[in-house]
Amino acid sequence: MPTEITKEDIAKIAQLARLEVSDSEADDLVEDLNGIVNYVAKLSDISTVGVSATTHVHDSHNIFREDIRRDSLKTKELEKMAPDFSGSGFRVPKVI
Amino acid sequence: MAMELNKLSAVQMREGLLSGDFSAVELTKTHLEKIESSSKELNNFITVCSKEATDAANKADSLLKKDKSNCPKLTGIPIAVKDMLLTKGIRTTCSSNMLKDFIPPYSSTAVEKAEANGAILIGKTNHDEFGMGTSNENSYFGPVKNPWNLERVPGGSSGGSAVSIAAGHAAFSLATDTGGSIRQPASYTGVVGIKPTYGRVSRYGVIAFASSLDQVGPHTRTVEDAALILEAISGKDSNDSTSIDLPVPDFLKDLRVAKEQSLAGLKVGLPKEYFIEGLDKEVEESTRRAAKELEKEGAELVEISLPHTSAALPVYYILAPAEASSNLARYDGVRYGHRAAKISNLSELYEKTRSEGFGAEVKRRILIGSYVLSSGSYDAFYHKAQQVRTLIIDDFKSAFQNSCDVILAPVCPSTAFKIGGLVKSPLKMYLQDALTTPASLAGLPGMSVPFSTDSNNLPIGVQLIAPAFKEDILFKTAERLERVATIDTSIHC
Repeated sequence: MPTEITKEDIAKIAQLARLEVSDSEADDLVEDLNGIVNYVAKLSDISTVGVSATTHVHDSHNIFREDIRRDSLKTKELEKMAPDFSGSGFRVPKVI
Repeated sequence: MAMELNKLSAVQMREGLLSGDFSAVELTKTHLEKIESSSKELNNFITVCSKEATDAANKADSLLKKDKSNCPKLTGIPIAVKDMLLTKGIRTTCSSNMLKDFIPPYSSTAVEKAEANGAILIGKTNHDEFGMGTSNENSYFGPVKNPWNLERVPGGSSGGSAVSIAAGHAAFSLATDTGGSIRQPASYTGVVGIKPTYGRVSRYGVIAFASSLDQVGPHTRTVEDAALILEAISGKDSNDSTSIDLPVPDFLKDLRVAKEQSLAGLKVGLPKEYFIEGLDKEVEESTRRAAKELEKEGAELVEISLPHTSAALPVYYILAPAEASSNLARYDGVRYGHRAAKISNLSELYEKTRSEGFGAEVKRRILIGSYVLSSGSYDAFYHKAQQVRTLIIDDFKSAFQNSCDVILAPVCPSTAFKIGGLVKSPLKMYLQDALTTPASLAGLPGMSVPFSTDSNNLPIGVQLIAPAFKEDILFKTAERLERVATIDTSIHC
């Protein structure tokens, strides 16, 4: 089982999840996450050799539908929900 | 008369409306007045739809006047809806700063079906942000209080939904259950709560937490109401490919037939692993007494074993955060919801928006989820948890194939705890879900039915679990318990 989660690990995970974590938050999170991860790590005591993994409780398969045009949300409705909208698109800060 | 309308079940409201004892407008007005007088203190509503509800009640009255016999089965009945289910044109916040001003352009299928059956939306209820919590203390809009004791939590995540029924603010409510979010608050507040089989009710338009576990179900005042409402909201939906294409039984009609029969031949399993160390003595005594009552009705009690029960909680706290970390990636400040101000580039936009928009528990779970899915941990945590989930499913399969027709167990290890009592220890808070997560992981229908009170006068529910798509067994068993229950469920209405 993996070793203890450090402050550096928290910074890395936070970066992956696009979350900002302050220094004091990181201290609390180290304690919380280690407690939780140590608890869930007890699964390693259970033998799962040859056991298949469940991703979905019912048999799942691809669902197809006829290729017929259906109504979707109108641009005006999207504009109403958007934090910043221009013309027919969402506006975001400069990327490069 | 008017003051008593809040105590009626939905079935009784239906009868009263059809016989002209009261109008839909009177019914809605009484509920709105009750909301006005007690919801501020309980903090169970985020949005109250007074005007919309009154308009809808007027329409319901015209319909009742015009053609009583063809009025849909929920005509004129006021409902509350957890603020995780989208309601067209009515703010849906998910109890989060991220969506505090979000007005959806469409409704969830469950709400649409309830409204198509004539139900009147009276308001949107408070809950733990994104469904993450067991005490309703993790809401951007503040904690919800338990009407049985204002210093106690109502349970979560669907605390506001359960409180709305316990306090007489609506006839029934629609909520969601991912690891116990309908059943646990039902038990803590003395109302009926059912999490249907996964796939029974469409998840379309339900703000996603953990998609392989989330399921919509009602909080009600009686078992008959639960049967009535579940039928109204169930069924295959082309907008949710995980909804199941099976006929929806007339649950209420079937229950009324079953009511007249003895329980002879019904095998009720008592899983020994659910009577865990640390289980409150009064909760255990109440659960065993419930089993004895079923025996008196002709059922046979059998001790069963579900050996992987204690693994359910760790499996849940790997899989649910993993799915959440993926589902919540969509909140990026671009298309809808909160966007942070004074941003200079795109990655700053994502980070600042998400950090301001999500509360502490949501961030904690996103981080756990990202950790267990990260390349160094995936096999040891995520894949392992998916395998153990299979073992949990097999436990139930074997019990239902070889030993029993329905399982009876405690809902939670204790009754409602004090507000603030567990906030400092996330892990202790998670342990509250130990007895509700197994049925969630197996996708099975589970129910909490109010049965008694403890020495602090706090409600104790009993949990029933049935095989997939056998909600009818839950209803007929729960109704027997309801008959002999020693709790006055309308005392705070």
